[in-house]
Amino acid sequence: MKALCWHGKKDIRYDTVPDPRIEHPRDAIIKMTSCAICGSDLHLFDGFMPGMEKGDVMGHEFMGEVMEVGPTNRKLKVGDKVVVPFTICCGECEQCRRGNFSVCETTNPNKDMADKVFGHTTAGLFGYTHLTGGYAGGQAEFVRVPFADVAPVKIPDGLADEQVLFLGDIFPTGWQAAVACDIQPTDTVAVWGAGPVGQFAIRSAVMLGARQVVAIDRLPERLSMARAGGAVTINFEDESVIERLQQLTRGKGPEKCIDAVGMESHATRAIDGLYDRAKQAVMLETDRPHVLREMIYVCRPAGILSIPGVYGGLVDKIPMGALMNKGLTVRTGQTHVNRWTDDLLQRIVDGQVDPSFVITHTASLEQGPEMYKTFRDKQDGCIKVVLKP
Amino acid sequence: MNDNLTDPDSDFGALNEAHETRERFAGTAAPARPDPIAAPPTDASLKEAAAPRPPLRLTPEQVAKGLGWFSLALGVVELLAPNATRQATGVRHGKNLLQAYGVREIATGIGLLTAKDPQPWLWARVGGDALDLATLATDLGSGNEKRRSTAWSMLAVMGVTALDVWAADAARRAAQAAAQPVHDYSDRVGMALSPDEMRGKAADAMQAAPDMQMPSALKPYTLH
Repeated sequence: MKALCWHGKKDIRYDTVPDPRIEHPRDAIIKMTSCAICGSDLHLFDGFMPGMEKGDVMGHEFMGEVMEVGPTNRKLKVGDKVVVPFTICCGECEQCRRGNFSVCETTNPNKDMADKVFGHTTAGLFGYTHLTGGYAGGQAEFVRVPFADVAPVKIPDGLADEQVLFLGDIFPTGWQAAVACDIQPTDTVAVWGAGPVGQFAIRSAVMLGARQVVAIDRLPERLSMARAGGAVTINFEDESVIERLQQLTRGKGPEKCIDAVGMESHATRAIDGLYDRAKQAVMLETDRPHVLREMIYVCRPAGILSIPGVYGGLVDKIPMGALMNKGLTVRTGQTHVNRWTDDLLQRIVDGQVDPSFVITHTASLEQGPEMYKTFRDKQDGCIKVVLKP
Repeated sequence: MNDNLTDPDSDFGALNEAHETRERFAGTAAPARPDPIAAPPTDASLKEAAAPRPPLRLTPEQVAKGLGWFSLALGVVELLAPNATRQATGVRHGKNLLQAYGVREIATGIGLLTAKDPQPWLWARVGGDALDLATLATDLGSGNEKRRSTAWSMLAVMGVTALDVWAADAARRAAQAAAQPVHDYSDRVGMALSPDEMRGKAADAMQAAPDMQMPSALKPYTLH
């Protein structure tokens, strides 16, 4: 079969790889009908995440049709249309029973490696480094889905792929980021990063009742989409984020802050941005945490920082004094996708939300390597790429 | 969702009143002034605050021009007063080298002040910075009595280099942005109704995540 494979920094190739097969009685094989390139795939593309090996199949946002199921899998049957969450969960361990699916204790076969790096293992993820299991990803014609009797979300007839594909990651991720803010009707929620996750976080915050949502980015097209979703926008290349947020909150700061940027933040005209790039260049720091610093500084005391943005390793110069003395609450983590999918699918079926708004580019899987570059360089107004086999 | 919060004025009013009572008893009541907690911003005031503001800082073009003048001034000093420059920086190389560097600085300065696209001239400055740093580094040895001055000069050049790199990168991004048509996605609401009409439509969903709500013991007492 054909798949998009990682071969090194900025080197994704459309390769021929062996077809997947059932390896465990709970498995299923899915024929991919739509997949997407995620912002966190770019961290792999840019070489910021450790644990990738040449030939690894990329992708963790995908959906398709069930082609084959293992003998003990009672949930799925051949022909079902499913969206597959990016977190692989067993449904049985203590964390899964608590609904903390993204930290499932069972599904990472490289648990020992993760234990050493993170202290404890987290869930296996599709197409996302050997630190999280080394599972082949979904940017491929066929995908093996382990523990397929737990996470895959069956899609009712009548819904287009574009409406439901993002149930596997970015919609629940934006939603969880907003829910984690414990939004109150008096809140201002500031969202750093108006990429796909930021866009969903904006709409989620609005629907959860935030009085005011502010989006921070530098790309006009992203800011225009953020405004469409109800956000006031700040272009950080044109104005000071801190000053504008203070102005929008009458000097109090936003109660809730969402970091939808993660480890590769740009910091125009900020000295810490140069500092991070210099340290990163000589391998003294893995991630650039400008957004974290800014959030801690500007957040209203007793506020909440919600961090869906992906960080991979070590950061420097985090203002712990401000974080502690302001009594801020930090909530973060990969998304517990299945906690939200039933509710969000129903909202799509009811017509309350149509996640397809975020798609700006649709291309063939073969064009994937080129689309990685387009997405990476934000060319042609690119916000979200969907690939078809 | 806490029902009490649906009327913020009354709840915050109660909180404000409690504060005022405490202040009266303590005899420290401040002069009356509008309390922002007691009166949350109105939608009109938020909209007013949300109106776009003019840029507050220097643009990349302005920084490039500033660097152009800096280049020109430094070049003139190096060309006309090489010995004084050597004295100040602790450089031991001959004055001809410093004068040559002065000519280079003047050329890049003129380039920056006159060119429509400052990018090549900014990168030329970065190259010149590297040359300056290499020259200074050769004078850091123990044989140089003024090596402290040399070290300080290197630090200053590093700072200017960082500014040059930033300006060059900003100019590149500005050129890229100008070359691309801006895509307008302002019709992509993604929700059934307008954001104002959708506000709070999913507020009940918070009930599904009790572990992500602030524990009631930690909530401000007026919110219980």
